[in-house]
Amino acid sequence: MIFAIAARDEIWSGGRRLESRLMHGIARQHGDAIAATDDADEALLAACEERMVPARAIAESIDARVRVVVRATREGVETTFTVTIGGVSIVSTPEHIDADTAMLRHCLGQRPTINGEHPLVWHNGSAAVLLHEAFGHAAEHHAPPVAWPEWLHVDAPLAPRRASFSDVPLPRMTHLLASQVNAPFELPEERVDVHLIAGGGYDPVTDVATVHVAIPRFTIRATRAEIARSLRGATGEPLRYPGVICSREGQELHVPSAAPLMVTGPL
Amino acid sequence: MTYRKWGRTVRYENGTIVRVEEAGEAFEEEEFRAQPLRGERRALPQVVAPLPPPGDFERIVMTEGVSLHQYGDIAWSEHTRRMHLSVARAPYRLLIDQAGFDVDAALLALFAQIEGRREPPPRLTLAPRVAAAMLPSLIGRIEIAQRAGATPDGKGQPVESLPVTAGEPPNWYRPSYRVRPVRAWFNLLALPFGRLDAGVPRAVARLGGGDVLCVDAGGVFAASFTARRVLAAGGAEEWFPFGAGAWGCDMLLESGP
Repeated sequence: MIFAIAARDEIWSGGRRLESRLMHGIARQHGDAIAATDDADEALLAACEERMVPARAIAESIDARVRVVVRATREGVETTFTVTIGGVSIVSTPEHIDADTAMLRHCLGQRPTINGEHPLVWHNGSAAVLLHEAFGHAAEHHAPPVAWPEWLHVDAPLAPRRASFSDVPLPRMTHLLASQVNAPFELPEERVDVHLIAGGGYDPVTDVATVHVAIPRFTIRATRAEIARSLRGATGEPLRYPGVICSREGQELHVPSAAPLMVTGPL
Repeated sequence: MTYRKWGRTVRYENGTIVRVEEAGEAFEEEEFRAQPLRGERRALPQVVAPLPPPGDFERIVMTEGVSLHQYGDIAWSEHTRRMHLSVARAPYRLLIDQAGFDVDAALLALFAQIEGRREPPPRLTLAPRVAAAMLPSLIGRIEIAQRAGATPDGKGQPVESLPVTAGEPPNWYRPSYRVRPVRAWFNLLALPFGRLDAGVPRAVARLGGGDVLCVDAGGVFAASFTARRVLAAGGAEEWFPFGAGAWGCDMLLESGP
């Protein structure tokens, strides 16, 4: 089995490029052995550099700290932007970058207070991150099932994925799409509105999922069973969440994610 | 200035052997640029795949590597070994990071006897592998030195023995050619002082979540502690690959929750 990649990773700040890294390589796997070199697959390298031209123009135009990564593999070419303002980030793609950056600026203007006793309302598809940790990563680790609500459907297929030619492929989510069918929904008057997530994790030893909420700023730590029990309802179609760069074993991969507007109990 | 590196590593990672050959260069001006060094290979020694130790590990990564470095006119070589392993015994996770491949079987056996969690004892002796991980946080609280190293820093400059101060470190740490080097103290070392006490509980290893694995006459337990006053430090015993390196020693301290 052969895996080849060419990737360029740049960091821009206020329209000025600070860092630029090119990476390419080919890995050949035979059973449990991988031989990897940084040889270039010329077609992938050309595809990567070609796609970087418009991506670079976008990064340069944004008045913020922007990381732009173009990854070309034999499965396709992927461009992602991580835009950071005031320590809060979104992850986006070329077709959504304008709207997502505007949403980030809008969210930064909101500083709601938080109260751990109130239910949580997960806006902008952010419930996808909660499920990414509690459902998707748990599946990667073959965690035993917990009782999710019947109205919730989560599509989070796993496939062998790797960040670079020198990495061991791991079973990772290709995407996470959460949807609802006939879910109950009532918007609580007293609530905490979750807008953006900073990061998270799942620990297979303790079965605890952690979600660091960026806006408003607080951290959730709960077992999968507690999270499943907390799900009160949802409404509407799945909303694309701008930003899941998933890191496992040091390998960072983009996982497109979406979830409907969702309500959970206090977590 | 241009930095170049040619490297060969063999890694055992959770059952897979990964052999990697790569070379790269970095240009450090106002903008940092890094890219593979195409078409210029250097002869490097062969490295043998590490053999994993027996045991039921949650995660094990053993890496052996050789590398040639060039920064301007300065060239040097390195040979490194790194081991990271974790052992799970729910809800606890033992973490081992070291520069050699010999696993302390007695430590694994102690972890298998863990009985639960306790409040931290008022006085605690940190074993070298725990003290080494804590050293950066103790800068300014006890006397710490940078110990001379066998290889230069990330810009080819010698790493000399110096007292660690609150000021800017003189050396540069470059963990990869793809990363902009940063100033860092190398090979941190607590200067010995005070008197150790063999009678107090001993923190023998790091656990997940910032806990430590402790042993006393009553058994083996997990504890979370805050380092208060450091009462004594013994002589350096073993080098650990935390950051740009740290020497572990026995360290006696007052601890609190």
